[in-house]
Amino acid sequence: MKIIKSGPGMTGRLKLAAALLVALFWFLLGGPFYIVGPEEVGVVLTFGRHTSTVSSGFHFKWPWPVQVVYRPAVNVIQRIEIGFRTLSNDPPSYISFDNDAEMLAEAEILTGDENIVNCAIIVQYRIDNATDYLFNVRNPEGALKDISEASMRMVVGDNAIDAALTTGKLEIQNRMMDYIQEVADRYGLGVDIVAVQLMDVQAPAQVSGAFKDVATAREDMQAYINQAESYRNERIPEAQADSVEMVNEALGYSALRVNTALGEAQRFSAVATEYDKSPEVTAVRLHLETLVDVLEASGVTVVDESAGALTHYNLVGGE
Amino acid sequence: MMKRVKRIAFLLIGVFVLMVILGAFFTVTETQQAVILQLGNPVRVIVGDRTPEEMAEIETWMAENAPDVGLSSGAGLYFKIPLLQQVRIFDDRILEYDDPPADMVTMDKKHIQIDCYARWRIQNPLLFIRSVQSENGAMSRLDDIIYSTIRQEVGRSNLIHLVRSTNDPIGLGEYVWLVNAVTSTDTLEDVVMDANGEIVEIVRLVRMPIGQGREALLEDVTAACREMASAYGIYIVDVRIKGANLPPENQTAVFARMQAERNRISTRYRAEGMRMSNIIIANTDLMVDSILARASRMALTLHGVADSTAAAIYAEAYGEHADFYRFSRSLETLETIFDSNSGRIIVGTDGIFQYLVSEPGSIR
Repeated sequence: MKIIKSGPGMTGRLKLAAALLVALFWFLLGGPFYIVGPEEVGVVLTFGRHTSTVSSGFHFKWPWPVQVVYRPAVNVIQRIEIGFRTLSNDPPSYISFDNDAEMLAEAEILTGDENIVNCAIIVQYRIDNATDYLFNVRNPEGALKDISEASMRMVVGDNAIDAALTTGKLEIQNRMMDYIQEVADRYGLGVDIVAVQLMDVQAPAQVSGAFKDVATAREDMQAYINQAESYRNERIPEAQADSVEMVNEALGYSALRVNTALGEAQRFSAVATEYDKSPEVTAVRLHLETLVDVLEASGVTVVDESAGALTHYNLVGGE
Repeated sequence: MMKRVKRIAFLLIGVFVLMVILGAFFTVTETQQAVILQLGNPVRVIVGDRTPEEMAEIETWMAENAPDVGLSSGAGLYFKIPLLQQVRIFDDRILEYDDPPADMVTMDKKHIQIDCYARWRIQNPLLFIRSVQSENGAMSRLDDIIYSTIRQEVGRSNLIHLVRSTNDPIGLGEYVWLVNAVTSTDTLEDVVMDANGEIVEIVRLVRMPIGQGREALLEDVTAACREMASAYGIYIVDVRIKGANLPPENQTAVFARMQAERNRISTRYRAEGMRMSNIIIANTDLMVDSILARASRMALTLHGVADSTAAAIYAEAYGEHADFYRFSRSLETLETIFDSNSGRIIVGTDGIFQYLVSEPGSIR
């Protein structure tokens, strides 16, 4: 104030403006009030000592350097990526162990059956206790990343490669989550682990062909079986149809044969009954009719043995 | 002129006095601890918040090693004698220690790259300032302590004990189910069976002595390091293995083995498919043959029955008129024989040919 009064004219005004600017900065940065956002809490330090924690809204405080306020976001779920990094969300672009040597080193794990597998995981967490998060650990996010990497190696290392690749994923995730939470609590990180997700688990590129071939082989196995089954599904109905045909044919033959027999027997009986009424006449008639039929059509020579070779009846019809 | 000099002198004195007064106060925040030095000698230690046990430990140590140094705890506003005393601020949080991976050899002579990290805290600032001075000084001591301890423990363990943490059997999954018999010196395979004696899963058991495995090993390492680091006023929270990978030259062998293992599995799958396919085809052929055989038997039976029925019918009808049958049938036969229009010579007039020459009606 003294300085401002002493300076006349333009310099005085300049000084006034400078002082106002300083006051404005002081107001904005360390001034007597602050606003805590809805997802934040305000942790108030008085001369460096934590004196109160306030919820969202507008608050007054002593100006810097007496009181300082930290405003960590406590209700926001944050994530740590291991074995891959999201470069941008829109459009989605990543680097992962497929295309980045550094990520590969981070993702590579020696499994319990001494195979090598690449894992990419996400650890989701939120700040549970703001003061613990702020005051207990330097670089809490780095600490959480270290814990996550250690837990991923430990849990997957305690499993077989097939568990990591197929059926054991859920159990592995749960074990990792428990382990990360346990160590984080030991450090007093003040975070709550919300979820651990195995994003991508792959056999290393050097052997991925062989792993893919296993899947192909399994499909081949199924294909062989399917082919055989389609052969069965084709052949058996075919054989059944053939057998029905054979039986039907036999039934047809049977019906024809029996009915023919019945018919012929009936006809014979009828003729025989007629014959019995006057056997001599009928016999002569039948005999003669037959002779006519036989001898009329064909040239037949009958040789009488008893009469010698030269005696023969030439029975050519009509001559 | 004099007036101006005087004003400047007053101003300078004012600023100086203000600086001295302000210099008498300093804050120690929640994340800090401090040591007040008087001409280079520690006179007061301000530690962060400690549990009563930790506090008692520090008090005991100070009573023995620095009886004339004061002790306070907790963050807040503190006073010192301006100009005469200086403050050295230290971090009171858990700090990071990380180092590049190092190649180590296990007891079973396998090479492995261990990447470990540690978390530590300045537990006793006075001892810390006396022995290592700064965080950088502490780092080089931690390098020595942690790496030598880990190397020693790794050298006492087999590789599998470094990789596994528990003795829980590992399910080897469907693949090994097919291939089976993948054993090494430290492991053996076993099967899990259900109540009916059906095999449910093949598992690998690790024969680790109690107190082995990565977790147990790290606990030992942490305890040993903690003991050594306490001489520097450092408390080691834990030491953990972040990475344990095979060196690139050994990976080649592992990849070859993995490849061979998978190839065996693929072959096994295909062979299994072929085997099952052959079984299905053979079964099908058998079924087809038996279906056709059954049908054929049925058809033949039907033929037989029909023929015998017909024979019986004929026999019954003809039996009643045996003479007429012979007579009429003979005539019919003759008719049939001479049906075709070709000339023929018949030698003899026996049998049915007698009808050709006999008196009509004489033979009946």
